[in-house]
Amino acid sequence: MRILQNNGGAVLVACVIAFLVALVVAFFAAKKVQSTSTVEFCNSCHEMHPFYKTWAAGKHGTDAKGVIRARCVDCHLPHDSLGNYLKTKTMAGLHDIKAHWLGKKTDWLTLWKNRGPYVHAAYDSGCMECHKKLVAPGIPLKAYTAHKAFLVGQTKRTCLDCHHEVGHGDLVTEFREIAQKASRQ
Amino acid sequence: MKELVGRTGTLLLAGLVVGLMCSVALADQAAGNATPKLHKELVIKRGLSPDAAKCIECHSKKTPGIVESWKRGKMAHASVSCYDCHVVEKSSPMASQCSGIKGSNIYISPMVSSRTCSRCHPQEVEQFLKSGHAKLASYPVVEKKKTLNLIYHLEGAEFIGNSRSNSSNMASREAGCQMCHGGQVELGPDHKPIKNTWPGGIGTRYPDGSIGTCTVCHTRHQFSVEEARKPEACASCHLGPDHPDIEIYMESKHGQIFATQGETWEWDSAPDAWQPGDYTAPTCATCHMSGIGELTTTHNINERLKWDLVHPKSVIRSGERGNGEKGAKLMRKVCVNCHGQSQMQKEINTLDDAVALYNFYWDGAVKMKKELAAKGLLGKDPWSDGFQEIMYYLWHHAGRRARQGAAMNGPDYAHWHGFFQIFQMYKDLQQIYNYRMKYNKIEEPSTVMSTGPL
Repeated sequence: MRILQNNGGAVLVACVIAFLVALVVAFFAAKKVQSTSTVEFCNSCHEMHPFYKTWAAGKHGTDAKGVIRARCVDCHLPHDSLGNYLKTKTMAGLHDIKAHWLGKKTDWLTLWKNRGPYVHAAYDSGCMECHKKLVAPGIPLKAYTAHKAFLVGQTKRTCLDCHHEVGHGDLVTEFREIAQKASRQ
Repeated sequence: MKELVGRTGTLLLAGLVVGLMCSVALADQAAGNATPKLHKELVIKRGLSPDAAKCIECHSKKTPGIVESWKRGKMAHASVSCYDCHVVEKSSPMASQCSGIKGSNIYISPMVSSRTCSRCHPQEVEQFLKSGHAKLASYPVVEKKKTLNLIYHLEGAEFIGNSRSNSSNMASREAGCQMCHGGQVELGPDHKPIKNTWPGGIGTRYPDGSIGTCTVCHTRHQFSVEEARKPEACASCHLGPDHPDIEIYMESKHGQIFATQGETWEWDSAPDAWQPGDYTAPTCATCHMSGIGELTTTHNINERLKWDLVHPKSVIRSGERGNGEKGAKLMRKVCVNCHGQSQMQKEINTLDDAVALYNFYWDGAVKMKKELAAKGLLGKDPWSDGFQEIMYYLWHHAGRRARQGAAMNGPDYAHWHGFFQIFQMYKDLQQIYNYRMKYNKIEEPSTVMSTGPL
């Protein structure tokens, strides 16, 4: 209290400066979160090229007509809460940086042999950001029947368990072709 | 002059008429209406993607029976078409292309496993995969050494020179075991099945790792629930000297009422809504699977069972074969819809007694076998050894008949084909055992014929 009585003015100035600095840092951080959420950013590492290519050719990509493009982060990060989104984004980002610098090579085909390429890849909360209503006018009857168990909570299956080609198409074929090309060289 | 003109003119006129007729015929041909179409062509657009519609249009000409059957069923009503079940990813080990889609991006497989069905029916498949109809069913055809030896070395006649590289060596498997139990589907380089490993029965194992063929009980392409609820669906496999379940059912009171009144029953009620009243007696499905009273439908046929009535010794089900304690409680909840406590308890007690009696015989046989084995008095080839052959028929045939006949009220099977034969077989075992222990040698030649006491 004495500090305030004696140096009230200085404290006030310090608070204002601190507030402005925080504002700048927050603005900067938010900008960075935005810029690291773009497709171009993810694709800036060469390891991501096959995924970029198959995404662009697929249902949510650049070549698709009449659909909204989904960015990488729209599906591959959880969208159930801001905290979870930022936390997962940070962890995933750090992991990717480490893998890139250490030159770690992933043998996707072997990894997918038994698990299938769509296990745990994308979050349901990501899909549901856009696909909020699974039962609506215009959606065919058989989709309604198929989604019943999911909507009622009678199954543990995720969106990807059935819709595993919407993001990157047939990834196994893609990587087989890459492996073939590599072996020919 | 006039004559010349007259004749030429007539000729010209005739030529003109003929020419006109020809050109009309040609035009008609060109328009494709020259011959009437002898087959139906279905053009369906509603609810289907253009690709799916093309499947139907072509196949209504090529395989009209399939399309006719499909259009009667609920799949067609829900706009579930060929595309939905038969299209696979290009990378699927089963991917191939029919002539209609060659060169396109679409790949199909005629082999549809439970995994495909699970996309819209996840609960049913999840329950099914836990049951004895899934991996356990195909286990004897694919993994178990004893039965593999039986199928190829013995039945396939390898033991008398019919090599396994001959196609005929597989005949017993492909005509017999595989068609009920299901086997392992093997594919050639063009992704078409080889060695006659497809189609197969309920526990078929597919190259993509999936297990189970749902169409065994609700046959493709109508997928009729009515069919699956009738005992005929089960009868294809659950019959015969080693598990005469359909015979036991038809002998029982339930079967009697089904046989006489079944035609008047309501078979098409919604799942979980098919209840007493729709029928006046249960079928296999009613007790073992369907929703009834407070129980909901299950595709796990082990769920409501207490005893394992299949294997050499009967135990209360546990582990991958189910939960017998729970099953006993669930089955009571089935019976209670039509039966009073006294009758229900009698049936339960009867089965417990029958199991205990059978187990008593079996324990005795096992004891004799152990003692013979300790003294080296068992034939090396169990199929040429009278003692071991009779012991097999004791559990695999008469023993199962006695137990299952007691379980489902088929007295003829419980008694005449069951315990009546069991005690006599046991006496035969005793005689052989006594002889061998007395003279310290295996009798020769064996006096037991191989056509076992069926």
